[in-house]
Amino acid sequence: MSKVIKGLGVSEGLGIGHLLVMKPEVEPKEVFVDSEAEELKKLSDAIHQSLIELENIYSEKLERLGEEKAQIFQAHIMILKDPEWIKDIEGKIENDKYEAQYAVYLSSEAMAQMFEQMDNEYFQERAHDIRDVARRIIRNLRGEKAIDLGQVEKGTILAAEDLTPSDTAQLDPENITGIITAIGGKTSHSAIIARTLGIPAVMGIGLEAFNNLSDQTQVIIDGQEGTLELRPDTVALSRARDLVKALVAEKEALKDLIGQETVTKNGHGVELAANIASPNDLKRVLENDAEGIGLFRSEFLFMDRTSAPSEEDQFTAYKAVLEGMEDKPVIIRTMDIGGDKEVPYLNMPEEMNPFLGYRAIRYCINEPGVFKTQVRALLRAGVYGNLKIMLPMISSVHEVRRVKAIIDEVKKDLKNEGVTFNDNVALGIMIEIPAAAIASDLLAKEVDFFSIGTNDLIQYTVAVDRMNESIADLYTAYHPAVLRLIKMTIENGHKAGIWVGMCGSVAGDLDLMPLLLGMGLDEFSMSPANILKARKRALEIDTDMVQNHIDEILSLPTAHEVETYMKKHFPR
Amino acid sequence: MTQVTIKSKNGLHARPASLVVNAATKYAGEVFLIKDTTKVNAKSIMNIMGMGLMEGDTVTIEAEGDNSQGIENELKSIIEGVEA
Repeated sequence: MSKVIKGLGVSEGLGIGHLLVMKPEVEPKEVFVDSEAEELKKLSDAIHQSLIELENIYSEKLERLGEEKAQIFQAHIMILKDPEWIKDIEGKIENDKYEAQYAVYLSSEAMAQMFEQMDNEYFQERAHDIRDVARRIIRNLRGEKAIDLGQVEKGTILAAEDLTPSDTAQLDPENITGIITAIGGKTSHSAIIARTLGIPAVMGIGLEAFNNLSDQTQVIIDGQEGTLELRPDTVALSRARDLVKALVAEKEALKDLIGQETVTKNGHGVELAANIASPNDLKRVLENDAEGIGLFRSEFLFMDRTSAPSEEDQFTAYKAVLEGMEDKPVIIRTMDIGGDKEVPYLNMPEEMNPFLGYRAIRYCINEPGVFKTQVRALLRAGVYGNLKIMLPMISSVHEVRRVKAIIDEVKKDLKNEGVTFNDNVALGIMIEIPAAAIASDLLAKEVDFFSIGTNDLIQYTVAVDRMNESIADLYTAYHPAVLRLIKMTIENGHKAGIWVGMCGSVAGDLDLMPLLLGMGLDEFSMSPANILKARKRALEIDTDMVQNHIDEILSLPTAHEVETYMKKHFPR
Repeated sequence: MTQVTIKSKNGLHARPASLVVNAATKYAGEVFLIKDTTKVNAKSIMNIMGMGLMEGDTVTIEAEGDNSQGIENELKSIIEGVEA
């Protein structure tokens, strides 16, 4: 029997495939055994099996990625062979009569915690390696197979509670035709990656529905509607196959636009840029012929770790992106943490209303330590390309001036140390708080560019929590108030002689695009997968013609009427 | 017993520590690294890294068995040879 599950459509597209369910790891429990000899044998077998796995991974990575990337597995092998560690685990089996799994768990946690408490960041990070190796042994003790996300079969639909950045780094859109997660929404890390890779994704289906999924079940995933159809019948299947074929054909046709300039029908040039979260996304950006990076969400370098990335780590990441983009513009947003993006090691207090609280630039100004390191890395990397720095969550001129003072301090330090850096990096701000949009005439005099962040701008203007599904219908860019703020921001920017872009998901909305072009938006930054579609759309639009409609559109009283008007007058 | 001082800016990190382990493992007898009151098995990567040896720290290498001076000298040159 077929069955439909509803979730949130976070990355559009249609996929057909078979499920691969990543069951969450269960921590070993305190279990005692009668026969230590048997546990010791199991342990030695599991260590042996883990060693074979690691040696295979090592030689495979060595061949494919080189010595540097493979080294980490060499370190894992050495941990696995550590005589003192094995002695400790065996002791816990022999003396305490613990089950092997629990003995490995206890011993590795004690070691990992010891490393975490060390003063040096480098040694702290080794705790990850120990836990990684321990998980591998435990998995082998349980007789479970390793899931190598880089090597899945073609037509796999991956289902997980949530995906970690190390999982997502391995996803290959050639083989993975869909992603399902139990938790997470549109702005989660996994959702952003899915959109970047152009893999259809449905998230937030809930733990209950997730726990009922089983491997090999056939599924049709619809990332637009947010639905999964399990065990579809032949009619549904053949309909889906036709749709997939049509989508593939459309995608192929769009490739003709690679290398073309983005110019409207009446000859008005506009920039189509890409949103990324890590240097890994560069491949997609280049494949889709983006004209720049409009938003590099640097906070993803800070997430899912136990300590902040070092200046060198950040420098390397920024430099890689700048060099990869050659001289095209690259806008790196300084860390936008807080709100829904938690970074435990920064010890930011929990609060009732995190989206209105101590986050992003507010934290960076108040406790500039981590921020200064980021600015150093940025200015140093700025030598390698066309870097622009963008500040998130700006609500006032006062904040911009305080950040400028911090940047000046950093520059002074770099000068004194004789370190090479770019002294002329453009500085811009996100316009995502209504106060910033309304005061955009004042802000425009302080900075080199604006980028409208619609995700938060809608949330704050309409006072609607973008995570709350029961009020999701209120969350729309077509709200007349949101559109007026966008228009005001563009006009104020242009009056002051600076350019204005947009990096929220609205920038990829092809129905709204004619209006935004008509208002004079200079840059649209979106998921790489949307670039060519947007180019096709831009080529069809005559902005002079749109301008005759703007007053009328902005006088429409409801979001629904605006949407209907756009679809009627500017059909795709 | 042989003394050696860490010269690398990053301390005795994973790569040199693994070279120490590799050399120590080939030695049939026991080898230890000693700093203050901490004495660890030089064949254990985690014990060595767990010492958190930083630039300027001095450690004692102590081997027990045949040709103990040979292995001590070998480890000394590995630790001294670590680049910044």
